[in-house]
Amino acid sequence: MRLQLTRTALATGQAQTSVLETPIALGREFALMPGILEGNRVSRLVLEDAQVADYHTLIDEQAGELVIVDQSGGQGLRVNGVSTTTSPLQDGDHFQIGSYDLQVQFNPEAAAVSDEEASAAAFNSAGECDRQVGFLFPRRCGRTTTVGCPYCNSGQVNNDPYFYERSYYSGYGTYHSGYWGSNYYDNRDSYAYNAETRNIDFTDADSASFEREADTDFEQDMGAS
Amino acid sequence: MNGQRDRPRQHWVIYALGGGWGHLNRALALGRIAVRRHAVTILTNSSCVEYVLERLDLTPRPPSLLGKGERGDVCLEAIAPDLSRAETCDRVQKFLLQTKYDCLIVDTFPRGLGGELAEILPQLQVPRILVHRDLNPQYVQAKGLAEFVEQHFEQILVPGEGYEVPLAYLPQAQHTAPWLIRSADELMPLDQARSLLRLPTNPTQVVIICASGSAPPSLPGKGAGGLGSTETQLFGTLTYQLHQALPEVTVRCLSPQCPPQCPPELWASHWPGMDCLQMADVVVGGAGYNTTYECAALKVPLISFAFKRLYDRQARRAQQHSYEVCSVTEAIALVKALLQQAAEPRQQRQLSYTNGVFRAVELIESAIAGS
Ligand SMILES: [Zn+2]
Repeated sequence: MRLQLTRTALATGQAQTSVLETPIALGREFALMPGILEGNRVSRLVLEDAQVADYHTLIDEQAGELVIVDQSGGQGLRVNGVSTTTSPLQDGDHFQIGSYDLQVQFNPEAAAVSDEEASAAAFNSAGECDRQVGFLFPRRCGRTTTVGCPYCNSGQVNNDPYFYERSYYSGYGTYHSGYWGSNYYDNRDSYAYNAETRNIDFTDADSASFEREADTDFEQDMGAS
Repeated sequence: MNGQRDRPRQHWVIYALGGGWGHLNRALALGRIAVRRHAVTILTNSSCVEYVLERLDLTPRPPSLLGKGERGDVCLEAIAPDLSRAETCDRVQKFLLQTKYDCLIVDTFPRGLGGELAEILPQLQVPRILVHRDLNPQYVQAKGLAEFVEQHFEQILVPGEGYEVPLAYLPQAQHTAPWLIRSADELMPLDQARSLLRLPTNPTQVVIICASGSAPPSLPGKGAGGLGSTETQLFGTLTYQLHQALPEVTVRCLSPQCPPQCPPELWASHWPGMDCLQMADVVVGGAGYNTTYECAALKVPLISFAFKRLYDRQARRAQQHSYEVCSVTEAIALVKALLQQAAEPRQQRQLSYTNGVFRAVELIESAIAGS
């Protein structure tokens, strides 16, 4: 379900709006919030505030109802002014974590908010995307915009595994026998995953890893012009 | 622009790291005009900086080039060109994080020459302006520069490089005429330039070889054979051979040091070179930013070698603004042909060209005011 969350920093009154798909995790550390829950991609919203826990709350649907659940071990969650650890959320409800007030709105005017904003939550405080990408060679996405990003933004939209972010593949990087990845490891010299088609399942992010190696000339020579 | 003088004086920092003349010269061209209203600091690691500083200490200084502005000085923050990448990056970061300034103008390299700006740009609280000289599109792609620039720069100034440079399509881009170290009314008087170049009093045609290159020569697709082992050596050889081939023409090689193979009596040294280029009927040089646009402004035909650079696309500039050649022989033949075409002596024509730095200063001021 798609929600509009308007967060207001209580200290400054500054408000920002994001449109996010549930489940939605809120916390201070992007990497410490879950990327996948029960097979669903989690929207992660980072709140820069010392009073917010690394992974503070989760908003998800339970039996057709929207519910907010504290994940911080009781560091503070108030819904409509009342302290709680779990609470249903209605359209227009306010909840407070740290020094932020957040308002939930159902049926966001989707047209008014682009997908770019919807996934802005992936960006860390340096403005770079923290998602892990790469099928063979895990690396941080590191992009500073979702515009034209095939790795994590568009990938969610067109459902093309080629562009999935890494957290979609729970077995990635595990090469013991029995795991899907063991074939990769056994055949690592020929890089043949599918014995019949001998297809190599590189992703775009993987080839970008190679590109980076080839482009190491850039930003090395301080006498270049 | 009424009232600008009443605004508080600002401190502008220009990041101009990079080898050769291009970055430093362009920053000086901007800085010496900006300093009329603001204090300016130029960060440079160019190996040419000592040469420039020496020239500035001469008496008299080149008129109105770098002298005291009404409201401050241009300050050169020189980083030794032979420092390691790590040391250089560290100095830049420390300077930019510890100095107070009102805007940061970054010449050519959005992430810094060593990538050192990428970490600190997002935390700077001042407007950031990119000076967008042409860039190798491979670099733009490899480092994700389009996204980076869109996010971290309030303004992009394209100094005469046209609309086909890689980042010109971004919404913050603004175009100006090329930035030149001399405006038309500031050029050295002709008789001074003539004596500086030791030109004969009887009028002959003049060819100036602009030997500003420093790196070993590398022309894409050509072996080094016959070109000499350095770019300046190539120009030294060309000077000598041109002098042999065209004895009735006055040939001068303009370079900080006398290039190998260049007869010393044909060598002259002056900065800014634009003062001398106005005396030429034909100029031969590389297709770097300054040589190209200085010749274009002075309406002197340029014959250029498009040298390979990691970031600059000289070939593109050479094709658009000059006669491109690949060998000394080709260059000599073309000099002959162009001299035959030249009807009026260069020294008699009226020069009026636009120096883009004035517009650039206005644009930067409005970017700061609007931020
Ligand atoms: Zn990403």
